[in-house]
Amino acid sequence: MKYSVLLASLLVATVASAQEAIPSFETVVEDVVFNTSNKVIIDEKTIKESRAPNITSLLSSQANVTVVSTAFQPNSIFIRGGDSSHVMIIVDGVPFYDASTIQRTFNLNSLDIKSVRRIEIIKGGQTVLYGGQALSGVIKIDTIPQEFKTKTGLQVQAGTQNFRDVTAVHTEALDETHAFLMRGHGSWKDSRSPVEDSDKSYAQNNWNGDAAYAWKGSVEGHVKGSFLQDLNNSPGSDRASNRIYDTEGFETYTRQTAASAHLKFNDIAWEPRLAMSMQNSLRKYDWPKTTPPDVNNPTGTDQRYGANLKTARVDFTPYKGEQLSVNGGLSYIYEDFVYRNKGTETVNKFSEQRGLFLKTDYTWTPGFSLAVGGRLENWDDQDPVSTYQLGLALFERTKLEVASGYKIPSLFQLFSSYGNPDLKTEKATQYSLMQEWAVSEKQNLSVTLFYAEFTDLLQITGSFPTMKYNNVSKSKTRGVDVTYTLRPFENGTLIATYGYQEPRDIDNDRWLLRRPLVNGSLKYLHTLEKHTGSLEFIGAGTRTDNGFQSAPTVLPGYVTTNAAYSYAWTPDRTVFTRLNNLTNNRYQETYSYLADGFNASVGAEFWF
Amino acid sequence: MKILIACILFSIVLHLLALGTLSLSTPSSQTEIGEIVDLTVVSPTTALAPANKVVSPKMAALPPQASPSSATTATASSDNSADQTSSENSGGSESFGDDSLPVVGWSEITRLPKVKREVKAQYPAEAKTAGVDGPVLLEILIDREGQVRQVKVISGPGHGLNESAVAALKNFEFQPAFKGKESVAVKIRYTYRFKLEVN
Repeated sequence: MKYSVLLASLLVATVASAQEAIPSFETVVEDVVFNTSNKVIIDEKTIKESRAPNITSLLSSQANVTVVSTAFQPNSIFIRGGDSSHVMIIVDGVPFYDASTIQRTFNLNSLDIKSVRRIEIIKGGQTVLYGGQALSGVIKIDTIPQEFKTKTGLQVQAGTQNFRDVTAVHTEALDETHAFLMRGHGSWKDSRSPVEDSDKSYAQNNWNGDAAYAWKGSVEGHVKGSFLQDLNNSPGSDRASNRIYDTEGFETYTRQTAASAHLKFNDIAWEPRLAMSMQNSLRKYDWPKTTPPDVNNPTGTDQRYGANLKTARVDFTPYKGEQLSVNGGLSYIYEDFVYRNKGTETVNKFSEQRGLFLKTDYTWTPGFSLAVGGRLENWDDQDPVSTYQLGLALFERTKLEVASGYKIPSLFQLFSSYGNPDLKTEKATQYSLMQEWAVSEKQNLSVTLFYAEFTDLLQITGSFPTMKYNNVSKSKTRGVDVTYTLRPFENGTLIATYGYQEPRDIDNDRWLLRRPLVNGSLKYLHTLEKHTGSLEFIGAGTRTDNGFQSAPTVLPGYVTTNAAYSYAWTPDRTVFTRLNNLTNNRYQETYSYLADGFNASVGAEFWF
Repeated sequence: MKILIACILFSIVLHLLALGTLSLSTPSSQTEIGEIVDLTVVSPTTALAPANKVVSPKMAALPPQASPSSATTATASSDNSADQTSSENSGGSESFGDDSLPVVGWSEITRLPKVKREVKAQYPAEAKTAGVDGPVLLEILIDREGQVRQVKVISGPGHGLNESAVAALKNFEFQPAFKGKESVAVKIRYTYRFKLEVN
């Protein structure tokens, strides 16, 4: 066995050696594009230069996306009046979420940002191509590299709050078109308590890793296996006052294991693309009975939420010409949800969604195009739901979009202890008009006016312990989203974003919860030979939340300041530092939940 | 009526056959390629030979005496078939159709081909709109006069980038490779890299 491993290693080394010896020729064609208020792409270089501690921090500073945390939902994403339940997250071509969660989401920060090659945020309804979860937008995250080169990387970080972070990566390129990719990451931190005036800290640990085999050619694709887990100590939430408070021994554990495959057949008619995935999720809440008994935990907590998610999707391009292209496909999603309280299984349900979609893009002259798409989705034994999307581009820089959408209730909303099996789908119609101005080669401005109408909005009603999900309300959100980019110097980039929205709950005559009316960011990044530095301001205006005893309250706005600096000692050795929340602004992310104050880290990155 | 339809169909088939025969029998206007040295693969023997390490990777020219004595067997192959079997694939490229050719090591090459005229493609609008970039990996056949005879896409990001790279490479000119004092046709791997900076 030992000799087999040795032989295999020798063969791999031989192939790698042979690869190096082949003469290679190269031409580079470069161009520049600007992000707009409709679509934001964050490439590998930007991700690396930002030294952002996690993905949500990057989204806040680059994409005008508001992210808030609570004790039990590590992050909620708000895009154009929609929340996390209206945003589809796609990792390496497959939907990625914990099917047992209320909003079909997962902690985006459980993914190691250093493994991410590219993030694409598409705002606005995308349900035709991606299904009901993509009612307000899509976040696509890619980790598979575009080029395969044998290399090993190590990144270590340490910082305040006992923060430690290690990432190890290895790519074994068998040749230019085949590679094994492996990565492991661990992060440990004693986070400051989010409770006001508390000097307590809570351990937060995260581990994740993945392995993939990727190849290119007439059939290209990858197979990938991954796991991620979070083990955190958590504060509690008082049912009566709705305030969070410090606890001892309350552990929350989240684990997700996943396998996925993506195949693209380049030489077959209609260029079929196949994506499949399986994910298993587990969330555990363990809080032993305390002495004296805690009023919110009188008999101890031992809850398990388990779920499986299986997805399959086939895309075709039946026709692709100079002016007209037609894309279509089929999608299938299976979810199941098991809930155990103190070892007793009280929920065991599953759901299936089947979709059929077709989209046509017609360009009659450069800069003028029309996109028309439709989707039919069937959910369990419910009647099929149809949705459509229309897009019109004029003079290249004016884009008008109209999209209908729907969101199927999650299994939690249907069958948990607060569930309601009679829930209907949420429905939405969205309109947006984007105008882009290429002010000069160094400046770009884009403004999107949007309006979204939601009916049968899913909300929890009543008070503990008789709360229940219902299709209760109707909401309207109108607003404006602005992105401005300026490159004052060859190596400097200034990005400013601004959003104003009015997310109105019509039935209850109030703003929708936790969505800021105003949000924005300002970021400047500069590279000077081996030095790269950035400074960013992220802000949000007032938000409505459930306050004391769940009465509506208004949370004040905030601005946070972050900075990063890195020095590339050699192309393979970089040292860096990241300073978060420089002004130590401990604002309320949600009612009584304070944001982390100033924290800093230093790190080093090595490539071998 | 059925007989009439059958006659028409038969006539169409005959015409198609005749056209196919004509196109196959059309003599190539290009000069004969002759021996092709495959610079896209290296045999393990060659790879382990220390002499190979002198090759500098990018557009390098080997010194005239760089050919190692432990050379792989460079067998000549007359290759008219390469011209005749080219076919389009979905990436807009032409495949060599010469997979059956014997693999000839590059260690006997005394001078690698060198780019004489580089053509930079326009960044395709489709790829710019989609925010897509990445390398297009190509295999190209350069004849004894330095002309690009065939281009085949090995891999690429799509969105018009593959087609754009193929079109550009077809207009490249090279200084031909040499084996001793004679120029020789070579098959090389070419990376046409599109880099899009997104701000």
